[in-house]
Amino acid sequence: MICFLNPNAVFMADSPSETASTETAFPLQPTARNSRRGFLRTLGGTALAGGAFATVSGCDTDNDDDGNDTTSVTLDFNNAVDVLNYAFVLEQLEAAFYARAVQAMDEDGLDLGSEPANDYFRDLAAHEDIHQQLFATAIGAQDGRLIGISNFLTLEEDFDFENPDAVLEMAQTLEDTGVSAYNGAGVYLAGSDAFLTLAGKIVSVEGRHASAIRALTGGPTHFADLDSNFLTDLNANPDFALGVAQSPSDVLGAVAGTGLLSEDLQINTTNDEMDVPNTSS
Amino acid sequence: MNASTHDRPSSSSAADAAPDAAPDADAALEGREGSAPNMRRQTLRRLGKMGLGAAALSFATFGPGVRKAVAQDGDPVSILNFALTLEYLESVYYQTAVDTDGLLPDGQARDVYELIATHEEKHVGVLRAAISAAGGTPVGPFDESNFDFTAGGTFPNPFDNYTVFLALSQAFEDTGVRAYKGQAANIPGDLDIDVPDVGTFNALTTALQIHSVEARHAAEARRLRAARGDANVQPWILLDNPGLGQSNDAVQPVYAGEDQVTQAGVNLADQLNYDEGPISEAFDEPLSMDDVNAIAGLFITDDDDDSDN
Repeated sequence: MICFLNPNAVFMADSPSETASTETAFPLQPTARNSRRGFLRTLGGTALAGGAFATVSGCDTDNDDDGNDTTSVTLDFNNAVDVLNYAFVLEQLEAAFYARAVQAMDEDGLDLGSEPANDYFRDLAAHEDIHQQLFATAIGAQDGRLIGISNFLTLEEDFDFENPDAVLEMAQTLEDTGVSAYNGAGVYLAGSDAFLTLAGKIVSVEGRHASAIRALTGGPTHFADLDSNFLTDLNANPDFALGVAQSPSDVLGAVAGTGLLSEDLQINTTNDEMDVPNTSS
Repeated sequence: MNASTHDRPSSSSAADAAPDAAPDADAALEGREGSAPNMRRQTLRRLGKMGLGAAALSFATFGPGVRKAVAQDGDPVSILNFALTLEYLESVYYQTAVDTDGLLPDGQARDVYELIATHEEKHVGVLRAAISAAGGTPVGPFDESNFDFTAGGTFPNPFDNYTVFLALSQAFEDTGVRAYKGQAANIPGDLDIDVPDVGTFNALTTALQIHSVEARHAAEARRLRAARGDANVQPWILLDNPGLGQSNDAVQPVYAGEDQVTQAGVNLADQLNYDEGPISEAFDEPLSMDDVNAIAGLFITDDDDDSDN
């Protein structure tokens, strides 16, 4: 059984310009293909050249009761590189979602209702793709395993990309969840100053995204409505106007709840017992 | 856009200025007695002096009073007090706006800024509680008399002119985002502060939570400006562009360095098939405490009895 979680296998071949094999392991959305291919070529040629990637560990493929292959991976939050992989998973999901939404705008007439909304999505597609490519680079530079999820995306089967309300709602869920994930994961990067600051550079952009998307989906105060049901469910603390911080397992539960990832992929966590405080008002 | 034209005081010069550190700050941190008004005056004086030079001046040119303002590395309480000062600036700014008849258009703008004013007031509250519970002494309380939102006349009428108000709002929020980001790595990950009768606050997580709320505010302020045609801005920061509109020069230090395209040691403009614009938008950049103080200090007044300084 092949473990698809590790796209590094293609890099290890030290033939970075083999786009065919690259795309086999890391299927691309059409709108992102060119930039991704260029990135992978460069990545293979520089950061990864001659570098031996660690083979993936904690990635098992089993037959479960329903007969489908289930692949599981465990993220160790004592390991900064795995915390980056956690972020990488989220960014890949966002990037794929927005790339597919932009494709729907270009090819299927998806209209999010206003010019700013449509423009936002094109910007967000670029930002999230940049984020996930940056994480691939940063993780690669650490000789870390790279947990690619592209083979487990279920965008086509499970989501109606021609329904603008559904697209906006999903974007809001992904952005709010992303912000809460970074907020909750900061403590696991404490001491890894460069990575913590890098995560900080990204989370505020995710916060800007969340604000902008929410401005499209709700009333005047929806952009930062810490009293709203969704955010309350995610342990916002409106008493102190603290944005949501979620534990990794809660975030991964929310990701599973989007239905955008196959249930055949199980992402487990370990050493993530640090509580997310600030919620016991 | 060219960030290199915007000089920034080097961190090394600021660090060099630090050693004789901070009787005032020490007094605040150790809870040494002094009347509350004195404490406030001293803190504001420190910040105010820094602001006079704006970002273009080297810190080496400042007098001893400025050196006192350099927080000691790794001191969480002084970082929280730094954050508290910024939250006061925002809180007083927005509360003044909300209380000023005729400034905020009824409807969306008023709803937005009433919410933001509430958030900033709550941030003041949580930071004060955390600082006290951690054994420190929170700066303040500060009110309108402690701030000059015209920055000595640079912004003539922020409370008479909604356009000017919005421009400053954007600048304050974007500065706040950069300020928290710049301090995140200086906050220990294991500092849990028990606030009696309230709960436990992890200092780093709390800072990140506030940081993300400021980012939401910043995006909304930018959206309101764009919707009015006041500025050519998106909710995210393009290069180091403050957006078209008045007073660009004055707010430029808020955006110095935001055009960074190298992340994790990789020049993404070289590596990715994206232009510098979207790459710069995808990452917000930190600002040092010194740079933030230089910006915030423009809006902080000296007390009258500081006139001999």
